[in-house]
Amino acid sequence: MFTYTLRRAGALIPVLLVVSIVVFSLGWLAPGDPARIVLGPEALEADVQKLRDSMGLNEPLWHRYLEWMSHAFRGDLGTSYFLNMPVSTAIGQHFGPTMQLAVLTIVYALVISVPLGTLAARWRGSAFDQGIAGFTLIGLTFPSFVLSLLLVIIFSVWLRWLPVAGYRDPFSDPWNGLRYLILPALSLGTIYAALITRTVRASVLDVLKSEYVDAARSRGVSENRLLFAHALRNAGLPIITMIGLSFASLLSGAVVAESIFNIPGIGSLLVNAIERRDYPVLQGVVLFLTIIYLGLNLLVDLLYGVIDPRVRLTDSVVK
Amino acid sequence: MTMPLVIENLNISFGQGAIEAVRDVSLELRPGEILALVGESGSGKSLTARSALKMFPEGAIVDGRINLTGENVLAASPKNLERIRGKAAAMVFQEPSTALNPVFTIGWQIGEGLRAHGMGDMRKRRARAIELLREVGIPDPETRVDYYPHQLSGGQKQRVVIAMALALRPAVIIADEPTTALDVTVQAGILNLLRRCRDEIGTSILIITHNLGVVAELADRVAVMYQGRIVEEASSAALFASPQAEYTRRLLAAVPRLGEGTPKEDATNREGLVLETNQLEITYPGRFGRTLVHAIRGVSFDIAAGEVLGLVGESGSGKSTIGRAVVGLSPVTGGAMRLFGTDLRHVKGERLRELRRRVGFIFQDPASSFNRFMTVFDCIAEPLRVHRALSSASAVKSRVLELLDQVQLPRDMSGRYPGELSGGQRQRVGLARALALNPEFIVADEPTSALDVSIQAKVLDLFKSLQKELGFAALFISHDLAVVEEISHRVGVLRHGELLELGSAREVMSTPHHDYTRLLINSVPVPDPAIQASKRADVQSMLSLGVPS
Repeated sequence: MFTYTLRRAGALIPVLLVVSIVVFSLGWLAPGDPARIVLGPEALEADVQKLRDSMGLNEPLWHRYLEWMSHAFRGDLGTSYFLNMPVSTAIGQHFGPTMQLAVLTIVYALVISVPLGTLAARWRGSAFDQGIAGFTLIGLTFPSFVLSLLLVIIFSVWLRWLPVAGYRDPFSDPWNGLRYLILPALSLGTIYAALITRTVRASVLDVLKSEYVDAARSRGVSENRLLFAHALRNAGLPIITMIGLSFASLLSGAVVAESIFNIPGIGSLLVNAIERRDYPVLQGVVLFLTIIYLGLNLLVDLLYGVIDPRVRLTDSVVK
Repeated sequence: MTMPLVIENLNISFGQGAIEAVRDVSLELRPGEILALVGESGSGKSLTARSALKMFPEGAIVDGRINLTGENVLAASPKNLERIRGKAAAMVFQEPSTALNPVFTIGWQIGEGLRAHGMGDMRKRRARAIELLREVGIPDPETRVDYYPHQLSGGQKQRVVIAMALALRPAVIIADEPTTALDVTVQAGILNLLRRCRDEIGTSILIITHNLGVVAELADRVAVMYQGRIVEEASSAALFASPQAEYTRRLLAAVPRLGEGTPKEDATNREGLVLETNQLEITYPGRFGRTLVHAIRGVSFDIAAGEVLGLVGESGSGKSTIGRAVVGLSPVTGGAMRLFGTDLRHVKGERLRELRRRVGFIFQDPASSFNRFMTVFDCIAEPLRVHRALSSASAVKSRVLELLDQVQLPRDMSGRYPGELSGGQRQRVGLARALALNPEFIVADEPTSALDVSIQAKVLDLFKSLQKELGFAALFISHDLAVVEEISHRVGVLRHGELLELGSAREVMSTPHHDYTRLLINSVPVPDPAIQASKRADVQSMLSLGVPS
């Protein structure tokens, strides 16, 4: 298991290297002079030159890349041009809300999808199964921003149960913090719930067709036990992959929901950085999200090993 | 005395009666009896046997009566079915590696059957699982109970499946081709275990098989199925001595028998050698701390022009690796392998292509060795096109039609897709494809092991007559001694990557030098109950002594 972990982790290093180069070149490839942007169009050329020097923009490119990487290794991603704080601090401040939203969203999606998908597989072809198929189709195709607005109208404007938008830290104010997160989680999570329901249904169906399920049935194991104790673990591999991907894209792509509900998360930090050409923030955020993404992939790989003993033991084949 | 299992007038059909898979079958399994249900694929034998536990595929329309230890199975409620399954009758499956769930330990899986029948205590279940594993001859059961299926060999897995079937001491065991996926020496052990279930526990056994040797070895009575009907039912001795039904006679005639292959004149001279190996080594590299795999160790043999060399071995013996090395699909890592005088270790690119052109390859499974989206015509024409052997499209066309004639397939089959053909027809197409470029040498890797015996007999006949007519040399790889004997001039026996014996087919079969060869020959069940009974003690003692290497 240890060598397996090491091998999976080692495979990520080249990816990280390539991404870091691409991310770094973004700032250099994009039009516009950062120093000019900071000082504004009215600034004197001499001042701009001075700032360029102090920002290190006149150094050769490879030198700047190595500098940036070696700082990044130590957790120093530079200083934002506009926020007046280190990029890492900015990411730290904005990552909390995004993480909370992502966790709530994925929990909601799982609570819906795993039972529904499993039962749809069990009663395949039934009215229930067809109902699930309809739900997943709507869930997948309905634009999440439209859903957000509908939910706001229903729950906030008409029923007045939940706030329209905004954010409270759930750790200092759990009740209100949660209330603020519910609508964004519902509107974001529906599409993932639909996606995971389909994956669960398909892979459980696949497993139910296999002979070992038949074999267990021939020994008198009940249908429910077959489904939840025997089949679900085998069906777990594709499901976990889907959950990992969903969670990763939630962390990096909740931009729309964050704008609609006015949540100060990573998405809004990224959008603002792009609008203001705040390259250090831009580069830092993208690099950070890449690491998160790769980390989640690694986690999924390791979970494979936990679920499936064959993955774990490829190193030491016992005959 | 109540019969453990009585099937009366069973009919099973699919698609609103469009396909009648089982027609009016009546069977009776007596207490303490081993009844064999014999037939080819599609004869309805598995459907009939599985119906005893009401295990039907989706969409089956069933009619008839099934009485299992006094319970009406077809009318049983789901709750009652769960009670009957495993307790009144239990099943043993064909492929032990798919009948076991790969992500749970075998102990847990044995325990699940016990749990379903009311053994709530986890420690008790575990103790019982260990007991059962010991009973079926798994060494060191206290440790192995926590093994996952992939940590066991094929034979051990089948023993575990049998242990699960025995768990609740059912009155009936239904064994669906329990040894088809296993090597012959392993098969002998499993058949012996099944017999012990009957002798020591008194279980009645319904065994489904297409292998008449297995029938002769094990069964008291035999029912022969053909196209959904039972065409003959008789005691094992009577059936083999004087088969009544026309189909049974044909089936018995089709079985290749050891020691009955016609002696082949060895007209080949050893001048023109097609293939020569000298101390051949094939090693697969280990990655990241994995150990090297020595697939082939120091194997030397040669094949002369026009000669058929049969390679026999059990799974993992390296026989396929050698076949694949000939066409450059496995790397030669030591020694020499010369094809038409050229050492394969130093050949690349155009030269290798040129060599490959002179070699035809027939794969084991005709179902997976064709592109499903290419017509039969395109499949056969592909080597002609790849090697630009013929200049015009019309020449290709006439060559393909000629090949279809040679393998005795109707010409109008060229427009069909492989999925629309039967297994035997597909393997004929495989043969045609291998012959397309008029090869001097053909490598056939288990070409008939996926086929029924009667189909196998026809394909082998075809292969023999084509070999005689066209005079190609061949490396014929098989796990089936009788098949190899029938088709080859010389035979080599492989085990663990080493060539134990090499000689003329008659020599090896009649006077084997190596103990392993003798065990291999003796393990093959012969379709004759009298011979089987006298051989049994022999094989068991050899197996229990272990084979000296």
